[in-house]
Amino acid sequence: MSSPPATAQQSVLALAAAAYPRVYGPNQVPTTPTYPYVVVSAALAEARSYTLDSRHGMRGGLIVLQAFGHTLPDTAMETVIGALLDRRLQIDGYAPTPSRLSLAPVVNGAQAEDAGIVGLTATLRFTATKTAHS
Amino acid sequence: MTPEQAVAYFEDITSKTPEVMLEVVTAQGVKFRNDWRDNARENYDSHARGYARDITADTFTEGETVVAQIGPEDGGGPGHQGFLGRILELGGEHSPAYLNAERALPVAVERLEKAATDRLEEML
Repeated sequence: MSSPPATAQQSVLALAAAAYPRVYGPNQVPTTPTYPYVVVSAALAEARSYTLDSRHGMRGGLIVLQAFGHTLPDTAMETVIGALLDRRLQIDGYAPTPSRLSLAPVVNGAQAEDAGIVGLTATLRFTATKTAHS
Repeated sequence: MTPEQAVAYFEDITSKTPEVMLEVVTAQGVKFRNDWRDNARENYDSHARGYARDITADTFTEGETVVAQIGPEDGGGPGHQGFLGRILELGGEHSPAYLNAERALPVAVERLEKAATDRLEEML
């Protein structure tokens, strides 16, 4: 029995949600969220290792984490990072490397509409090798 | 080459290395700045039109370390939008994280390492 198709986004969401209760994908945050919460997104990016017939062999991958809270949401962020760091996403057609921390959590900019909310942004990267059957 | 000549040869290279690395890091810093600017230009066509111009590159030495400082000018800059850097790059609760610098960084690191290695090999 084969496993269901998995995208980078589906895989990162599953791993993060298993570790922290309030994890959302982009545009999935409730209108009145309970804080702190973490928004996760992941996508395959640039292609490389092209063959002579112009078929790629690898993709770079970027995971973006954004945590928001009334106070610094460092515990939420660290919990989600802990669920992803050194772990491999499951992506249909690709064999990803373990994820590496790229941008360590940074406090993001405040603007008027975010009044009172503190945000942290972090990123992880991985490389995904195309599997033979894809 | 006698041992004395070998010592003199490597001492000569060592004495030239800081200046050469300053050149390499300066050139690579400008390339990273340009990539960062290109990413920013692709993302903003109206409200933050001036932001890309406010991303600058400076290089300086701190003792034996060469430092390239690349990023938006907090105080403004020619586009008067450098102060938007944090929110544009890292996002907020109601703003996406564009990560213009973060997206340009892996290529920049690879390019810097290659340029430094190539330059050192030329010196040997």
